[in-house]
Amino acid sequence: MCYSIARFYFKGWIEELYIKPDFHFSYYGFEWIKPIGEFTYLIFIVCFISSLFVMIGLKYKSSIILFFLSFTYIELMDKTTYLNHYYFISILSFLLIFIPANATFSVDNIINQKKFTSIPRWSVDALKLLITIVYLYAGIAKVNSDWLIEAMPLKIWLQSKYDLPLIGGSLLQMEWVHYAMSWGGMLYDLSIPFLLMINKTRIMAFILVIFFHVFTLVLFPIGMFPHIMIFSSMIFFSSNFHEKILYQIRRVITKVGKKVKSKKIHMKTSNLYIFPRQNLTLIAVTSFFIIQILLPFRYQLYPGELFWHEQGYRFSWRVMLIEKIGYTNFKIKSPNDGTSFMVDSSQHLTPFQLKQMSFQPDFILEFAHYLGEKYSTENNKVEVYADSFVALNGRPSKRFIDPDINLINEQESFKDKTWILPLGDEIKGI
Amino acid sequence: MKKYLLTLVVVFSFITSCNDNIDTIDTGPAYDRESLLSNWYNNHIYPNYNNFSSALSNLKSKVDLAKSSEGFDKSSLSELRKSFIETYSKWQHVEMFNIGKAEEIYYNSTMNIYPVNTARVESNVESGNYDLQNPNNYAAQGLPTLDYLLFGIGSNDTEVLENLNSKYLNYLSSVVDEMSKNTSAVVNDWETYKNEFLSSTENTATSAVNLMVNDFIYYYEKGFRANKLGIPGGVFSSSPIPENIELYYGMVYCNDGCGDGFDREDFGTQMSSYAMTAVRDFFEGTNTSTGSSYNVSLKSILGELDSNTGQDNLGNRISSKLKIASDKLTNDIDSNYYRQIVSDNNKFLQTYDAIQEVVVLLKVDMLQFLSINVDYVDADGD
Repeated sequence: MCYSIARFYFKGWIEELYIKPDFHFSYYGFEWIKPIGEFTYLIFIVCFISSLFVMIGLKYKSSIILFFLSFTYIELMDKTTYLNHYYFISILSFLLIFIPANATFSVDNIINQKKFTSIPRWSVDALKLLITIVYLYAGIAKVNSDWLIEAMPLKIWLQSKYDLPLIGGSLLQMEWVHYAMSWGGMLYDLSIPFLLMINKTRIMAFILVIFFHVFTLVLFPIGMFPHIMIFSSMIFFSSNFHEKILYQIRRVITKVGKKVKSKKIHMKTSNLYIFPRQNLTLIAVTSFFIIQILLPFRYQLYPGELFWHEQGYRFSWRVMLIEKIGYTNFKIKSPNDGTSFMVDSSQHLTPFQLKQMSFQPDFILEFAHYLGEKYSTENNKVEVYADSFVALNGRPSKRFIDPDINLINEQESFKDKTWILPLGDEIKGI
Repeated sequence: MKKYLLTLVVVFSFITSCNDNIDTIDTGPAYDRESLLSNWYNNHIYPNYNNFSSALSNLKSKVDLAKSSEGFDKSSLSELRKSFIETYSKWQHVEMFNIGKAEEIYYNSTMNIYPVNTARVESNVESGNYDLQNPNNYAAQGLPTLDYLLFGIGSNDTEVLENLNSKYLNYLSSVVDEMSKNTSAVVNDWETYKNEFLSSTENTATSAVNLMVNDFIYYYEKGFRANKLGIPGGVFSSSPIPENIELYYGMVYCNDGCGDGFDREDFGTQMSSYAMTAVRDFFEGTNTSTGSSYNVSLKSILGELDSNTGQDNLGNRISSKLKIASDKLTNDIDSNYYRQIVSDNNKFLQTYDAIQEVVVLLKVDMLQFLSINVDYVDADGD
């Protein structure tokens, strides 16, 4: 995460994504979380430092809580940048608050002069469970007719990679490859957690993990995701394995340390880490997992095609699952004199925001309200209508939002958004 | 086990480390980006810029002649106006290419920003002191300003001639010289740029293929749809703005006839019609100058990438909607847009709507198949 934050900074994204834009899309219920001008850099600095501390195990408990808060704040500032792997980091860091990751090999051990040789098994299993959930749900999401029967959207994405050396002009253009990769991806997601759990298959599985994620990194612009998944899957390895790694790291440190004068460190070694309030902790962690397991199914509460209306789409490990392009413009109508005009949205949104807004109804609604406020006056409350077309997974474009509904009268809520027009097609699957 | 691992690692590092352009296996004309670029260059960019350049030279020679002699008279003014219209019509075939040198020097902004900032023109003429390279002067130069100088500075030929010869001749000359200079820069640069252009087939935001497709869409949406029809028709404002049409001064001046063998029908629809022809020819793969078709075009590529056939194929769908819009443009509305907007704006807007329908197909459906991003969005996805 240290590296990730640094990378974010060096790419200039803090400025571009959080400080420059006039407007940010907020999460329902979290509208009060906004960038704080130039001080937004502070949040990133806090995040960076706390991730550094977590890494070396300094003041672990406070650091991980601080990291969780700052990182989650960053993510909540603008819905435009929602990524499944950022959500993963948020919940993982939340889970880590309850896990004694600093029990051994941490700076805290030096400070407290105390270390442990073992921790309760459930704390490691919890981490494994989280990763299993991510993969399983990602795999389940791929069990749909577009992905498996039409090989969409991989067909479009792979065909466009024609300039990749060796495979671009040939393999990636072939239909059987599209199907192989669609089915392969689905099978990989569903099986890999179990292959990692079983001793015999673990090494093969880990190689598969590396291969899969590096391959997707080459194909798609997915940032830190592959790195995060590769390293976090190492939790499945036995403690012996990790001990070996730590031993190697210790050797390097002592070699370096020999050059520097150092005090002998006295440490008391306890056997088992005991949670101060284990029962409470267990309740918190269990509730956390219950939510994680149920949350991806909330889309069932809404009618229509999930991939089209996207109600309940997020926070459910639907990773790189659909190709959606939209073209959405807004008409501002003056009730006083009946005149109207089309807005140039690029005056208010960055290209990235425009792109995300164009095919996500909650964004469209929020932006419509923003425009309503911008263009209304005391005596003239304008009406806002959306002229919106969207294409999903290779289908022809279709009108997305009812053009006759004044979006000002619609409010964001958990209720179904009836002003989204139906897809008119059925995607079978879970 | 180890061998297996080793092989995987070797194959993998090979894939991820190779960076040079290995010749790709030809799987058919559909994926032939090289042909696409060479077709675009040989059938559109090169001939159209040449045609425009010649017309502009012709225009310039008339201005130079007048400047070095006694100025214009009725007959040479009429010739100048014809040359101007000819040049403007040739311009319609190059405005969509905003790439390379043209992009670098904001060529389109120096050539066709309208409405004219007449106050700026007047103050430039008064002071005699101006820098046409200053962006503040974009709306005071180029073809629209020529329109103003040839038709806007008087209400009849006598007035125009008098004002032109006594007051505006120098400015006219400066504007034409600037246009020539910029055009030469663009045309000459293509001689060397074309090598880079023709080999830039990658699927990146700055590759020629992506830039051309984006330019084409941007031109259709903004330069053609919004500038020529949308903005004057009042789509983006509470009421129509007929003064913002292309060739405004010429249209108003020649509303009831220009006389002297200069047909007012030479205006208006023909400019948009030329632009529409340029759009259709580019999309469908036709060389405008020779009228002959070539094989690899956006339409043919969509023909391959879209599994639908016949009239459902995206390439054909876009073509037919373009034809509908083109017919409306030619048949349904007055060649004088000013008159049309003022008398029956709704009819004008119906033509706009027909043009607008194609925008969705280009920006959503076509881009989906080509997997080209509309704008360079530097961010991670997932």
